[in-house]
Amino acid sequence: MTAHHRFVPAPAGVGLRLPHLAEVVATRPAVGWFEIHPENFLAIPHARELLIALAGDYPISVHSVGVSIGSAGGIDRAHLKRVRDLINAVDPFLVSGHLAWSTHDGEYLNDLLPLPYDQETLRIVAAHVDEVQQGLGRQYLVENPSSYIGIATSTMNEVEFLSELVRRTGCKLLCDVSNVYLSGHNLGYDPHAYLDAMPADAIGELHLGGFLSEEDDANAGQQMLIDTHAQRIAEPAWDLYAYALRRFGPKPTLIEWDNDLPSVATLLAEAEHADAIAGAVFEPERHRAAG
Amino acid sequence: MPLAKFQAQVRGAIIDGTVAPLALILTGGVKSLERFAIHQRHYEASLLRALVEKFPAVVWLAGSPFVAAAARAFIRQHPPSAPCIAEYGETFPAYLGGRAEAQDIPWLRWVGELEWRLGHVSLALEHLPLPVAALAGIAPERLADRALALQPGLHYLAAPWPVDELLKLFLSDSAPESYALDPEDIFLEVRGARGAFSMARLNAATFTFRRSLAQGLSVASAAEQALDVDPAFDAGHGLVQLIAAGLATAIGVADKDTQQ
Repeated sequence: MTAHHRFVPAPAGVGLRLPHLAEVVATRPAVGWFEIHPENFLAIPHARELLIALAGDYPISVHSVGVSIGSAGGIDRAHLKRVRDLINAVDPFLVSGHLAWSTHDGEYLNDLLPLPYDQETLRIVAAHVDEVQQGLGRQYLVENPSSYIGIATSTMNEVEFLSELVRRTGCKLLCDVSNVYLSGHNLGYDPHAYLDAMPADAIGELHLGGFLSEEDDANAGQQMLIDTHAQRIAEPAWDLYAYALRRFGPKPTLIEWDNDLPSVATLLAEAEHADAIAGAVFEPERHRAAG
Repeated sequence: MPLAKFQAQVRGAIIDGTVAPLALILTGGVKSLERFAIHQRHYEASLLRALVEKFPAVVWLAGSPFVAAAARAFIRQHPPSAPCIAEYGETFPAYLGGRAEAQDIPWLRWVGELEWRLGHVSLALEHLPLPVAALAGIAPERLADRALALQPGLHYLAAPWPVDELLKLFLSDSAPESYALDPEDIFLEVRGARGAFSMARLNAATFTFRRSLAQGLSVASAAEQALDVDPAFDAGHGLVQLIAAGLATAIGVADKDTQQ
């Protein structure tokens, strides 16, 4: 495994989805970097061609939604090879995926499904992260999931699981701040305590995505949060982002928006807002250091 | 519980709706199975959207409720096998055509087959075409054993209905008040690249020759197939026409050991 970190972009990046691809290629907007889901590009040679051209002008992060490191049945090696070929073509500065599973017995369930956090799962996920890092020739960043349910057979909490995964595999973590807020709300834990417990040295990237509040069918009269990636970042998530920056230091930060896509300008405005928050968090520190 | 068993139960709950085994495993809220329904809804909604978006002409012709009902059943019976959802749905037209509700509209399956191919070729790239002069460097007795690599954005479809006419109506947004569609065997060449596509009817022998080459057969074998369809087929002329149209990108031996 080799380090491929060309550089870490300071401004926030945005998710590049296919409906925006032609506009981005034509207008080359001012944005720090783009993150792509390789699964959107692997089967579309024309899109892949445009992406490779963009990779000459922008740092690219590759964020897989289909590698399924949590599948008990193993990694889909054919898919991993396709991802590797794309990675070799665009030379991303980050490669990441989810602490989740989506494939079972040859069927792809098109979702990021929850895992029980126990020793067996840890052994399986660690072996798969090793395989992914070996197969891709890159360090892998593992993202904390958005959760609606817990699993009664878990013997450790999510942060303990992720921390041990880092220790066993040398992977890094992608901290999705919105997921921390959302899961904390849905499962009843303190998102600040979650961030406090994360291994700060392992955090390589931050994500922010919009979520939806709707009535909780499991708890009459209460609201639950759904990770839709279909609206602006909510104010409490921005607040938690500032907290995460103070805890982890400056990190590449991504605005995720996957459904009901807005204009590119709206995405860029969200990225500028993230930059403004980072500026407000770190400028006083810089002034103090300079003084 | 072993992880594999847990995942089999989750899979059963999402695809088959068998949630009872999860009742004692899930936590979160007073009724955690209600929350699990988020994953069930996501599976169906995301794949339904992906399928329907690939067949707008089918939806235009048969109506959204009809296609959505078929798509929901397809999603349960034929889950994706890989994470690239752009590749999901190739068998949906045949599935649609096999449903009892579609028996009165037997052409619908073929609209879907054509639409799938149009969508597929429009995402492809076009490679540098092989010049006709490339044939001059090959001795005639050696040419018969050679195979051609064709443009990636190329598909051949034989259909028992003139569904290309229906697609043209859909694409031109010019639906007449009524339209008579009679059975007719058509042989289509669908070509595309970088967002554009076209379709053209071929005669049966030319279609067979080109489709056989696209399947990797040698020039001689493809010619034999075409001659079975039409004893008057001129393979030499057919080969020059194909190359002149820019459809071939390389010529090599029939065992796929192609070389430029």
